[in-house]
Amino acid sequence: MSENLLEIRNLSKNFGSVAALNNISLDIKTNEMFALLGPSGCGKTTLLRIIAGFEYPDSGQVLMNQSDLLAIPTRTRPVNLMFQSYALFPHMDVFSNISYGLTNTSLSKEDISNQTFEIIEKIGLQDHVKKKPNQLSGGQQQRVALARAIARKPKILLLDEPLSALDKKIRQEMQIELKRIQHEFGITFIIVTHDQDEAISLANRIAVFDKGEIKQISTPQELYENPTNEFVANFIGDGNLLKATSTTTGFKHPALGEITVSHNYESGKQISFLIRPENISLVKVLDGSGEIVDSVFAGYRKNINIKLKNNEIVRVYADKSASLEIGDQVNLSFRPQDIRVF
Amino acid sequence: MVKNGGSKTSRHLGWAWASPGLVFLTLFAAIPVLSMLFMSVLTAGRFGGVTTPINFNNFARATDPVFVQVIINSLLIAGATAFLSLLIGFPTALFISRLSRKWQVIMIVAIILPYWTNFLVRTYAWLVLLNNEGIINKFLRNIGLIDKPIEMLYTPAAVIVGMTYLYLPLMILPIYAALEKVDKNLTEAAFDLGSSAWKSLRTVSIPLAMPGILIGFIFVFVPSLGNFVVPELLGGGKTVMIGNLVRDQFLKARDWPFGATFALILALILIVLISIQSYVSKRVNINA
Repeated sequence: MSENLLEIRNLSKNFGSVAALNNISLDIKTNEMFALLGPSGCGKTTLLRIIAGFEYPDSGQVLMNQSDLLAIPTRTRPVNLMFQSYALFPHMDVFSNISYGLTNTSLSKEDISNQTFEIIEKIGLQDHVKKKPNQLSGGQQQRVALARAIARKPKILLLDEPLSALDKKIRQEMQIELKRIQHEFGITFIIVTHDQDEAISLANRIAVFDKGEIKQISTPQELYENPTNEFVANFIGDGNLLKATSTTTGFKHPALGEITVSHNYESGKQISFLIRPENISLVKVLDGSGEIVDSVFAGYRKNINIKLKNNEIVRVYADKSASLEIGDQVNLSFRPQDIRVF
Repeated sequence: MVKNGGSKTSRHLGWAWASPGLVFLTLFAAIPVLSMLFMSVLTAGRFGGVTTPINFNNFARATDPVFVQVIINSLLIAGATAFLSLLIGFPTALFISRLSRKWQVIMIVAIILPYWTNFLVRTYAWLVLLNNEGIINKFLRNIGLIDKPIEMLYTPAAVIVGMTYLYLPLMILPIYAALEKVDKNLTEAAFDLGSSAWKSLRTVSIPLAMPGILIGFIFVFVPSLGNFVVPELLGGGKTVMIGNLVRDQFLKARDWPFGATFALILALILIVLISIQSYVSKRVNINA
């Protein structure tokens, strides 16, 4: 197992009476692609800005290789940031943008030029060296921003919403590109995003943030399959969170009936449980536990919405050839092991 | 057909939109400049005014070393005023642009307020400050730094200081507006990439605020160049500038054509400066 590169210990930061970060602790390993995921205003950007050196926490520690990162001034931190807006210098050409960070080192002019061209080649910007940022497409601008941020060979590259400004096709291209570059340069990436797809497709591990607190830190698969709380269950992936009353053997749902599943609650409590749309199968009957109210063709499958007898809506992914129509009465079935109780 | 009609309509609309501006420019820029040009090639009337014949003697007269010296002096004094204003105005504008919204507004109001006071009053204030028995000389004598008053009033330096004080807001406001527009992320990016505060200013903020800096320079330089009140009050009439020439030719010598010639020279200098500014700001804006 690789070592912890960055250790964040009991970090808190308030803006006035608002707690942007509330006693956050997490470890990030060398060469990891780590995502800070959460809705806007959850504190993830504050954490990013503290690591970058634009904000200072009220309390807590940030250690890089066991030494205090916060004691290092912004300009000499072995950390660089790729801004959400890219923040390319509009009056400089691609070469000057990318070499900008290197001009703040003791490197000779020749070394700066060589290293810059090396990066330009690796990121595939050879044809654009003399162009100004406004002459580039969104994807190209992002490549320049990326190249500029890794030119100083930081230990950590911070990426603020790296794919949010790109259209879908270039997004997918950039996802692959980011992974390739992370691998090739051996830099630890910390990605801040509100977009779960972005986090899931890019990151090895994800910390899910809500209201200044970390709700869960895990691999994307684990977050999807075993969310430890309602917030994560709701935030990650498509899911059906339904209300039920606990019993000694499981719980009782007003429309779906009694379901046997193990949990830690006393009997008679209000609980919620998660069941993913792909884990439900439907059987057409005369009088079922719900009625199909919506059915959307989504290419390789049908996205079906079912209105249960108690008016809760359940989403189900069905085979595209399934003969299920709006208005059909259905029964739902699923395996107890696919249920998560909160 | 429809497309043609559409573009024609929008062309007509364009003229409609531009017409107030065109009327304004014709009335207050084109006609005055043309009438000056016209006047400068006529002959002075005996009691002022202009008569025929048309001649170009005034341009030859203006190249007399005495007048050339006045023009050079004026350019130097106006240049020094603009430069001093820039030296004080840029840091001030930078400081204001880094304040919170609320304090930015307070500071801007504080800078504009004195500008609304009558400018003669503000100039007379410098008489009180700078004369041999003035506050500055008295203070320096009281602390024993000097025993004879320093001659401050009625020098070119007094003119420069007085005009700097008059026109400083015209330097601060455009620079502030330009700095305020520079994306904060860009300065953060400069720090992130290892720049010192000075380097980020030099390589990012100043180049991007250059159009505003040039505007401020022109806003101070141009009225300073044409000013004739401050040279008289604070320069004691010993410092003659183009503005004094223009006024004297019109009001004292009653040689309107010659006065118009100098006014035309002023206008030409202005046109050159504005061309430079618009070239630079176009370059910056194309990239932004």
